[in-house]
Amino acid sequence: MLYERYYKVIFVFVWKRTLNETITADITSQVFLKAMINLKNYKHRNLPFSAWLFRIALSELMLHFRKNKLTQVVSADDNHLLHLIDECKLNEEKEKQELIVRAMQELTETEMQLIQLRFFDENSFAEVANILGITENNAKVKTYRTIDKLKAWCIKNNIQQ
Amino acid sequence: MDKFKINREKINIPEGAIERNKNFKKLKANYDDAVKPLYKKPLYKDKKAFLVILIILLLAYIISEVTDAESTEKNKNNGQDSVTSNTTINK
Repeated sequence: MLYERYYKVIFVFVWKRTLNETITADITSQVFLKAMINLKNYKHRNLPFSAWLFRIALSELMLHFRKNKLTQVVSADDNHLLHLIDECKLNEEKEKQELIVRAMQELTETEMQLIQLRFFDENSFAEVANILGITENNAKVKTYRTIDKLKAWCIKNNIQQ
Repeated sequence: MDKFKINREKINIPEGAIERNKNFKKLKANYDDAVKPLYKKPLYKDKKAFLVILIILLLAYIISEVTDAESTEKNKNNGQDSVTSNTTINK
């Protein structure tokens, strides 16, 4: 059953972005409700069904943040940050983590979503593209542009590579 | 103010939180509410409702015809009265 199979995945996805049990439960049930209502519009494109659910979840989350004027939560532990630092080709030092966290504040909502989906949620580019409703190539280009932006910000702030 | 709140802790979902909030019955009830039509059967397909509406419409038509006929008759009578009164005044 789809609900049994994907409930945990969606719950964790939403939890990472809210860190609140009640809100997470509300948004998750809203995601499944919308998925059930729109199931007839779902088209299989050789991507996991969860990607479609993540897409609904992301739009519900954005709606929640905008409606309640809340600051978006981005969950990224040290390993995720090291992965991002590595991608930006910066030396993996502890201070660099602080810097990359500061640099992330310069990103737009969409850029942050790309970074979150690709590096913190560890999705493939095809999945990222499907969740955001863009092409795979576009997802790659936008992600690497965002990485360049982070790198440039770090260099501008006197960080040696 | 920061644009994003960066959480650097490991994700730690309280034990039982997922099971506690998983409720398919509630979801199904919400789904049924969301997709339930306002009328179960369209009025024109419901024989009883169709007959009732037909009778109401017929009654309305009959009443309007009767009142129309009455008012035209009244108007006619009023016209005749005024003609007779005018002729008596002239005499």
